[in-house]
Amino acid sequence: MAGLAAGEPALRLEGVTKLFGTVTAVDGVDLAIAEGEFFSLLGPSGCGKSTLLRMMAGLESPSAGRILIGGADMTGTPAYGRPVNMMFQSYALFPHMSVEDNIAFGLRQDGVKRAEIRERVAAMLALVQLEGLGRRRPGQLSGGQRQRVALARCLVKRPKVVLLDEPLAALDKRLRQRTQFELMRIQNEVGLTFVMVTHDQEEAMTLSTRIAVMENGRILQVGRPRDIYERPAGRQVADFIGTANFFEGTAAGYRDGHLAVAVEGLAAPLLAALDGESGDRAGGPVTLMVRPERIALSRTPPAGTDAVLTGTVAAVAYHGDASQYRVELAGGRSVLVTAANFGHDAAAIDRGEAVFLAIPPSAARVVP
Amino acid sequence: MSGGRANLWGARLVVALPFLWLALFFLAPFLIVAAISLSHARIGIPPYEPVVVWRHHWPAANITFNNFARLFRDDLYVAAYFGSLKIAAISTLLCLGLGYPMALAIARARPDRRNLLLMLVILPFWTSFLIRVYAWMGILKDQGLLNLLLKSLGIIHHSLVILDTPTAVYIGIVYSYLPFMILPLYATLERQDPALLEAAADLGARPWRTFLSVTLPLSFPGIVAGCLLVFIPAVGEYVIPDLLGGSGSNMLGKALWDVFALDRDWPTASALAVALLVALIVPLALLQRLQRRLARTVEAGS
Amino acid sequence: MTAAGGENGARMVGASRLGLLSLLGFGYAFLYLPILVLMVWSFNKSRLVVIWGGLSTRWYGVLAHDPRFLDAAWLSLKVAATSATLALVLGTLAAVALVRFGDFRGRNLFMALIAAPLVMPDVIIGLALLLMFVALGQTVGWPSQRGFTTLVIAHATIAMTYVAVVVRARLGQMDHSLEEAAMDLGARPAKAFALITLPLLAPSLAAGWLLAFTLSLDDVVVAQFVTGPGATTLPIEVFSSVRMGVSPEINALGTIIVLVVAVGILAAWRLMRARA
Repeated sequence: MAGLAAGEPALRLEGVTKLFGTVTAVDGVDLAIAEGEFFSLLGPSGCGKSTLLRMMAGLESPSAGRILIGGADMTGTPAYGRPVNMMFQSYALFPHMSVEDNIAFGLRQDGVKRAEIRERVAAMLALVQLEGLGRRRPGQLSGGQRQRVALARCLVKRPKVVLLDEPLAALDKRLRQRTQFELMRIQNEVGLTFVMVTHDQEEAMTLSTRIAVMENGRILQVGRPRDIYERPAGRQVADFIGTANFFEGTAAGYRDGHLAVAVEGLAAPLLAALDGESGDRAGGPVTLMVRPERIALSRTPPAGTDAVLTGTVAAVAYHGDASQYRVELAGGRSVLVTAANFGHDAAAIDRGEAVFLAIPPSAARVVP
Repeated sequence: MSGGRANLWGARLVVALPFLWLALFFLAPFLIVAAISLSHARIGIPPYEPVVVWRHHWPAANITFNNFARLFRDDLYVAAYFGSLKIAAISTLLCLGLGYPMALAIARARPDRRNLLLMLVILPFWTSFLIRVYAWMGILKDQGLLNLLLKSLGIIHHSLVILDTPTAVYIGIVYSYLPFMILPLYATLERQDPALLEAAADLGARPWRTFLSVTLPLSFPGIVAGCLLVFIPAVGEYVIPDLLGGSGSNMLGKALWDVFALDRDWPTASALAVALLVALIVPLALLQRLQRRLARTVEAGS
Repeated sequence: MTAAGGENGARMVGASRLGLLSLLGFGYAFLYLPILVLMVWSFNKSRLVVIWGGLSTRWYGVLAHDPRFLDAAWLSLKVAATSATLALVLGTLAAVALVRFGDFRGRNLFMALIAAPLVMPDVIIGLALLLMFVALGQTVGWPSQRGFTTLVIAHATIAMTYVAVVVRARLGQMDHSLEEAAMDLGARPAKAFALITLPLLAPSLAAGWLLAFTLSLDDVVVAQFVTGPGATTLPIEVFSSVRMGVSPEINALGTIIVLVVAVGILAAWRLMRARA
């Protein structure tokens, strides 16, 4: 966007903190969001992500820290003076105004000329595929249509940053999936910076260029969806994103470019990817994470060098495309395994059967 | 809320304007009533002596408790005090007796009819209170329509004296305040989940038993609210006893007006106002405690 | 439950239902018969209320030429319209203060002041306001006389608390993010309030104003205290003539009031249904 210093992030937070009485809702958050990003704040309810978003919008003022938008300090600027627009979780469509008037509201506040307003509103209606519904009242629209009006209303001013507060939460599951792709298409077309708050990790993974995982007012990890899923910065992150099996053990040494970890109750050591780690962990305690879909399940002993565990299937949950198994190992520990229900003899594996689990070397990750 | 200093001043103005208005025209008047209730009466304008006088360059209190002592000494006032409480209490119970079945019937009516039935209850409230009380005068008097009707039916041979008796006051109060009883009752009854009744019936409770053990206890908040809305204005009622109760009717509100307007004894009128407030606050406080305890039991039970 | 028990239960339901419905009917008759009787007798030709002297609109004519009632009605309408408007402004501000500016010093006192007039007998309010006006007149010389101004102040004070209750209920239900959205889109707080909140409050503002208007038109007790010579409102006029006994003129006046209110309410109801 014009007027921006090269390399200046669209949005920068420096040590942003928010106290409500004695409760710390947001605790010293630093963040830089580049132009054109689709950035997600992901976390359980009450983690402070919505408060953080509201501070970006200017609807809440931080107790400490600075908020810079396009390089300009806007910490003390009220909502109506900031070049950001927000899509509210309830959509907050003005019920007494038509769809067109809702979308035009922001432009009218800026004193944009009538002809231009008409043009830009029409373009927005086309963008969100609501042509012909401009005269309707929000009450006469379906949930999905209302969602699109809310989106159009916060895009029409071409804000430096578009803030989305749980934009898909009010839609049913089927519509939500379709709308995810719709949202990606629209962001591509308008080329604006999006910041989204969500508690739905699938949604965050699908849409985002980067994700910040939050808990208790702090950011636990910032990264691309793949990094966060495969290389979580800690047990909390790994637990919150997808499902994970954890193994605690002792580093026994290095083997074939992997860290060998001896886990109590397992006959063979588990081999973990090093991720370019150079330090010597030998002898120290290590926590390993293995995603359920990375474990191979079979009735017969698998060939190869993988660490092989034996156990009994304690429960099977059938999901259609895949099934999840809870396998109890000899030592009483249980492991979750996900296996696709296609071209695989696992489809027939039942509760009570004895099975072999193979964990390939790259599947286990050291959790810091 | 965010924003600059201007918003803060705007916000202060929004709070301050109604606050100052109420302080000036509601709170201050009551302090003045309390003060004058302690003043000496005199003949003049205004008909009371100042409560604070300057004596040797120092302010000094010029107060008396005689006005309150008079209330206790004079049987008329004591009777008015208990008369008000009695008439208000009995009228409230009568309102409850008629209002509860009406509210229940409306709440159990077909959903599309409820609004109409409810509006018919509220409608009289929007018409003149005075005119409606007055309408009863024509009905209840000795040569009135009620006596005419009863005589022509051969039920009575001599006119019943109803106007200018406590009975007429009861009729007037129940008639005027019935909507205030029905509305809160309806609100709680309508909110009740019909599945509760079905559950009770499914568990073997007969309808009457279901009513006593489910519907009635759950509607207690509505009963308390309705009773308060009837009892409070009834205690201080002035127009109804004046028009329907005749000279013999004895209620605090009417006594207050008579002392104020006929005797021009403002200190005693103020003392009566204080007494009337106490008459209201005591049952109110008791009811509030009862309500709180009930709320706790209902919550604990559910 | 046995079959016999079930039948018994069904019969009890029928019986109690019948009882409920007959009480409901009795209640409506109780509420409406007196008004109906009054309306019928307003067309009685005879001055004597017990004797039907034939159908006539004589008393409406008498009423229409009685300057006492006409002057009083005009004053009452002026007082009601002015005090209702004042009450609307003050009550709405009070509701906004309570709902939007959650915490401020003295909030509990404010809440008590808002609730108090609702549960205060009219005689006490009337006496208190009169003593206040007298004290003010003695110390600051205002109000120098009682009449229109003191009536308006008294009625606005009582009615503003009713308005506050009505508006507060609606404001409390309203999604606060609507106002936030307006500000987020560039509207200053006062503009957001004017463009978004006020239009959405409109139905309850109208209801609050009508309530305040009706309360003022209906009040006799407080008005008797705070008014002065030369300023007689319609209820005071009606009250003093009714104390003398039943009069056919008042029957006619009552009929007019009932009809105006009924037409007004029905129109408002139909308007609301058409909108919904």
